[in-house]
Amino acid sequence: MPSKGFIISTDAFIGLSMLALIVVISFSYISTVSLTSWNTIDLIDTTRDEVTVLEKQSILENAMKQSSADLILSKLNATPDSHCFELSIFGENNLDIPVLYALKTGCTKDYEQLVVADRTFIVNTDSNIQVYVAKLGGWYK
Amino acid sequence: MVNRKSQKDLIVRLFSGLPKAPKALPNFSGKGQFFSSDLIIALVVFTVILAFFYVSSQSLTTQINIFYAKNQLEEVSHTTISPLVLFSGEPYDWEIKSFSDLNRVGLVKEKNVLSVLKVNKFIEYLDNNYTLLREKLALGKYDIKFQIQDFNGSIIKEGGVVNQDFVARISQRRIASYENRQVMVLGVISYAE
Repeated sequence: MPSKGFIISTDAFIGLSMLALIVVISFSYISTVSLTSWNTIDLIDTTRDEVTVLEKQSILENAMKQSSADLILSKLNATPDSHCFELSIFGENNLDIPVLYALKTGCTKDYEQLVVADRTFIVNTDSNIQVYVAKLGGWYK
Repeated sequence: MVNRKSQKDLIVRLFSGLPKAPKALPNFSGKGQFFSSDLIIALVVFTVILAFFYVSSQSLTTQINIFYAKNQLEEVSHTTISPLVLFSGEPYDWEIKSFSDLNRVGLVKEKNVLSVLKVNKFIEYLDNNYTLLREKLALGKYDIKFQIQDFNGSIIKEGGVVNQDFVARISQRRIASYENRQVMVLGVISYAE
């Protein structure tokens, strides 16, 4: 073997190639890093806000009194286009089958990330008091 | 003591096995050359590699700085806007007290239900006491623009500013109830260098 290197010796070439590869990998990694964790927090906040507003404005209570999801649907449909919501209301004794259900118009249950916020509320009628659980699922369209 | 002749003999014997150096190379002068072709090629390669890594590191630093600034803006916007729709403020009736009594701003009478009086007072402070209010909100170098919009985007209430020379800005949205209707509380946080 000749003792002279050819411009760049083999080991230097391998070293530099590895370094360049690391830089390229770093670039590709950094370009994929995004602030998606904040999107999740925003989705959680929005879903919680929406169910809280539905509760505070007595929408949930009135919907149960009317036994109709129309009121809830009208509120869900008014929310920003980028968000999808589905609301299920369960009786206190059966948390498997909802007594009322509403899915925002134009939304399909096709999501990468689903956030669910629960609220327990009371419906007070003349004869008795009923406890219900509302589950609002939220996701980005 | 070794005498001068035996020293010379020793040196001759030591170097006798080595090949003889040519008296003169065929294509080179006897002088050393500062710029050889090998050196020039090596310098070019070295400079290109150095430039590549310099540009790479600059680009990486820029991206990291942008990421850091965005993250900080997100943090500031969340820590500023969220308490407005979740808490009443400190003291809870700050809207009927003087500005100096205000310790912490909150705009709701209960969670997510905006108080008209608190909102009006907040807008008034944003319009007339902006710099001091910004300090109370612990915003530091950041500016705030506050809006209440309905879901169609129509502005119901508005106050504060977006810095005209802003480098970056971010919007934070929260849903709330205002005068028994669903609204969007929007805070725009911006900063200029």
